[in-house]
Amino acid sequence: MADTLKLSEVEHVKDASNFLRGTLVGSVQNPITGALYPDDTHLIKFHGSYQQTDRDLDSERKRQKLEPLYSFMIRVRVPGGVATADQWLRMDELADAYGNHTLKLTTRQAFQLHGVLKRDLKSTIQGFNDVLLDSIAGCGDVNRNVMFNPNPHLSRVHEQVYEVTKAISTHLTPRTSAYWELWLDGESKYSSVLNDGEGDFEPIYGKTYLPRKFKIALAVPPYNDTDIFANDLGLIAIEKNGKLLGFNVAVGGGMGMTFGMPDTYPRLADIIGFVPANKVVEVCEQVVTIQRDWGNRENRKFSRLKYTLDRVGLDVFRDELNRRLGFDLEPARPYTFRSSGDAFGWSTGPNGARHLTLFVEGGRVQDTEVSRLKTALREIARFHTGDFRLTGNQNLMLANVAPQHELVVQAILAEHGVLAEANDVHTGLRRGALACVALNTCSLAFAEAERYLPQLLARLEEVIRAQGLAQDDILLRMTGCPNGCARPYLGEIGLVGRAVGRYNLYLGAAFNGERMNKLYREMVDEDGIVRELTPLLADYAQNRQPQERFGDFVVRQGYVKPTLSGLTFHE
Amino acid sequence: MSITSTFTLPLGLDDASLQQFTGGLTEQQLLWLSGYFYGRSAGAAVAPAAQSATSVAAAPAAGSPHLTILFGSQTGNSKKAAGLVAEAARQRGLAVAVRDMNDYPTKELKNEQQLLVVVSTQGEGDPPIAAEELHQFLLSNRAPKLPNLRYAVLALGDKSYLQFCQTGFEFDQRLAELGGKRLLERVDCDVEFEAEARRWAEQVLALVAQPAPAATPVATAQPFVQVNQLVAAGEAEVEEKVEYTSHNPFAAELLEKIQLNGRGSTKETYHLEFSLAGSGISYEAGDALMVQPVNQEALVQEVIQAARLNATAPVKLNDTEFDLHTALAEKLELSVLTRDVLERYAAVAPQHPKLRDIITNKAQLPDYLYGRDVADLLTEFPVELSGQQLAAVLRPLPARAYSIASSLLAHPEEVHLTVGAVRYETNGRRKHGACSAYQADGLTVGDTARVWIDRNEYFKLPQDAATDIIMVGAGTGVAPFRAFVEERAETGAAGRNWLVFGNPHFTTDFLYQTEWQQHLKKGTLDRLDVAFSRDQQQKVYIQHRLLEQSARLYDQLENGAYFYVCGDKNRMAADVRQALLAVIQQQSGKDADYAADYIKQLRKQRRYLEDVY
Repeated sequence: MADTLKLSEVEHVKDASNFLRGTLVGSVQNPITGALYPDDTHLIKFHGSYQQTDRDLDSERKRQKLEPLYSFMIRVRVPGGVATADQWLRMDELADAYGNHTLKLTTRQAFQLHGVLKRDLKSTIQGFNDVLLDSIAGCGDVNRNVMFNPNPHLSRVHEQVYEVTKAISTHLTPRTSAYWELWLDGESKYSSVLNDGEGDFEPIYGKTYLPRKFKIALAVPPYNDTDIFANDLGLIAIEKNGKLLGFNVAVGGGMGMTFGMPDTYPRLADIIGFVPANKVVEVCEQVVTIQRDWGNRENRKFSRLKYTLDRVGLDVFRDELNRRLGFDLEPARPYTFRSSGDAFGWSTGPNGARHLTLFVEGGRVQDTEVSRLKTALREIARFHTGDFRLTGNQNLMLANVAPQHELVVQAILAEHGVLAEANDVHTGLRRGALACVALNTCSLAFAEAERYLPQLLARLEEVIRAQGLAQDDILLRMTGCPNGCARPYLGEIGLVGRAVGRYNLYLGAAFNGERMNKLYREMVDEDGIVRELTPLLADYAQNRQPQERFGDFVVRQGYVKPTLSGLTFHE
Repeated sequence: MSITSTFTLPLGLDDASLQQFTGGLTEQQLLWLSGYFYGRSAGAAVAPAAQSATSVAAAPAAGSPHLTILFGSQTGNSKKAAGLVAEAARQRGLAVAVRDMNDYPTKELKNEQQLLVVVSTQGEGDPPIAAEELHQFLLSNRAPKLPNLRYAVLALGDKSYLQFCQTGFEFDQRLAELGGKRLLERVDCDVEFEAEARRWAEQVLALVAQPAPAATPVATAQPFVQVNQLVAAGEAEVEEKVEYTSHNPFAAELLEKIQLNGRGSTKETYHLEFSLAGSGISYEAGDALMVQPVNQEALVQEVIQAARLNATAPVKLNDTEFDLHTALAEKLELSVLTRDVLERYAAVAPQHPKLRDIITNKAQLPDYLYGRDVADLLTEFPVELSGQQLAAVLRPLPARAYSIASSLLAHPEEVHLTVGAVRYETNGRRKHGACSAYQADGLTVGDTARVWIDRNEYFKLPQDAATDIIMVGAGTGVAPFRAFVEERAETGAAGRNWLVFGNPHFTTDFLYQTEWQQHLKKGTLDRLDVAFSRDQQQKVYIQHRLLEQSARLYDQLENGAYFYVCGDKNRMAADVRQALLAVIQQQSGKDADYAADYIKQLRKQRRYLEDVY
């Protein structure tokens, strides 16, 4: 008995779900509750949605004999982060019609709608389906939104790699027709699915899909704004004279861990070789199938590819991959990453096209008293002939702005209080900061993140300005729990929520995303964070070497030991 | 009383030693001991023959199992720990009930005999949300004494917090205060709880499994209950039977007041719980509670100012003297204007011929009266009059009837109401319904209200518990149905309970939502149809739901079901009747006359019952 595999609960749910249908039809129709049946809450993730509650109101509503205020977050996939103006307008409209009047741009270049009630799920999904967007595989144990630098101006191979990004995304999209059946009345106006109509069949995933989520990101050096090492599979484009040769393949990255469980840890991907461009989709598929077959399905805390790799060893994994591919990966090619942040303001591409990267604090597109970003972008989308590009750092690029529109765009932004050039006003610290959603809707959060970070930054900016560091880019990342949505372990300053108002403080990640940080202080409150960071920033201002980054400085000065691998993260 | 006797004690007992053991004990303690020793001997007789498992099987079916594991969980860890303990108990052959604090009726606590509590602590020493209600109840002075309880607490927490395992500590301490006997010292677990939980389970289950030296709890429970009942019955007999009426209202303490509508609602509905303790008042589901309001202070002040009178002016009402302020606040109706008041006022205000015109124009009189109050009248037609004259013009402040929302079986010595606050603005002034505002704004927990029961002869549950009931209510009209369902749940009535409820919005106006969900889960509510009128473009009301369920509805009526309607008289009740006519006509395949007669027969048989207002 002890030897038999004891599958986790979610595995049973997937197995019995008939390719992700479960009892969702009945769940969605049940008028007595705003929630789904418990098993269906796992399945809805594969359709791109999380059931959440307004945690600010949980206690109050319980007393009022009302169930929690259930609503749904819907994550809409945007491979490579490229959305059309029509798509932007529709998302903007849906946020008002069914959501909480905001759009969240995620750290994985997706749109998130928040606060959608169960009864509006179908209308919402139909709404973005009309403009050829989908949410299938937005969440769940499948390959998620595929990331790629949204910076067309930076590289001549960009267009070629973007095509690869879309090909990977399409190839790894689940084939089940449950999504169309449940939400779109069987219509597949937009189908990223290559279903042959002969019943459901998942040639890559099988009926229990993957043991856990799977993330892929691509980057063209020297820019690593997609943080490829934080992904299960990272692909580094290698070019020669503007021609894409192929990709270095990195496997086994992942940010999540659990407090109190030292066997869990964040880990950066290891580079295992190089693959020519025409074979990269095959490599993706086979890495996925190995994880499908070898990943831990008993305990979801150890299901990510990173644990599979550390269990079997990199060599065994590479041998298996080569065996499944039927050819060997070539030795990795040299490359250099310089940064993982975004560059703000106007820029010009190799073909003369103009692009504007806007700073979007916390990735939240909304109208506030100070800045009506949501309205401004809606007005721009009505005439903009280029596209909208979501960056991996929760910012937004207006790409390919027509020459005759440049001044109009400027004027609309100014009229609505939106800064076109974030560099002028914000410190480098604020411009580069990332925060996950956390309270009040994320059920995993122990502490605030997005709602609170601006306030904390205001205090840290006083220190930053006093030390003359206002224009230094320092990466700060905050999450409400240790699961890592805002990649906190890659922050030069990482703040991970432990309890309301209390954070673990991590220091010393590399600016280019190639080294994780290390725990510096535990359970510090706001005063504690400011108190701990003040002398370090002062020391940095006075004693750094030319071009030395804050993350490297604190390691050199011995404030923290460098984290050289996932397994030594806690040491 | 003492156990002294002039005759010889049986069984070789001697009086001197008994005196030695029992001297100084109070009467109640002696009474308790008599039950205790009875139970002990009964237990001793059973114990040798039966294994613990069989004695468990023979436990009285009072809904109280031998061993209960009660968990309060936020993240699922306490639930998991409770599962571990339960598994260990079952391996020992113990029958065990695992209960979630989230849906544990607090009144069951006093029936527990052996209770293992597994509870976590959140943040800065708070209980998990699922445990809040029980925690609050237990720490309040409403918590029952628990002399028959043997218990132990496993506390879960996180050592990095200052208030580590605070909630577990509070449960443990409070259960002891209430008279529970601690089986084992509390164990506080850090984040890694599993090993500790298993150890604790083994230790505590070893104590549970052993027949207690005193008696098996199964056996002891019986005589205690009997003793308690005897005492209670005795007290009741001693008490003088008092009838509470409008002349002699009972001062009921408000125990709880909850706004039932979520944030952003256009409605304002309150759930109020009053204590009837010490009154001997009883009622049945379907009865109403009369509440004697007090006028809002702001309105009293407006009237005094408009009349340009002194608050301390003496006023005599029915031979009793009051100051004007008291008379206006407690004795006289101010918030509405009626025709008789207008006529009496016109008599003392002959200088306002317009007033005469209003009264004589019968067609427009209702329009004038609508939304006006006494302050409006005094302002619009000012006259010089004394406090006594004003008092003579006004009507006595009437009490208001509220359909009772609770069952006495489910809430002994309590009565619950569902009250919608009536507020509107007319003549540029904000108005409030006298009695709803009194309860919504005037009463706070700990205050007393003057109340008495108004029996509703016919709006009652069917005599035959196997009869199905269909309950149709909108807004606060759901109140008596809460009482019905509670009552039928308590009595285990076999008939099906079907509720059709309507209100504007699902997220904010689903009155008693979590209670209905629990009833559905337990099967004490068989079906719930809801109509939230403003959640979609086309307004949907309860009558639409009835039409949708027309086959089911007709089938149940044919099967003898009772049909209850509660709520708005003018629109809802009529719409429901129309829908019912349509259902009968459609399902029977007969004409409108047949349907009308069908309803007439239902009314005759008192199976179509309305409580409308």
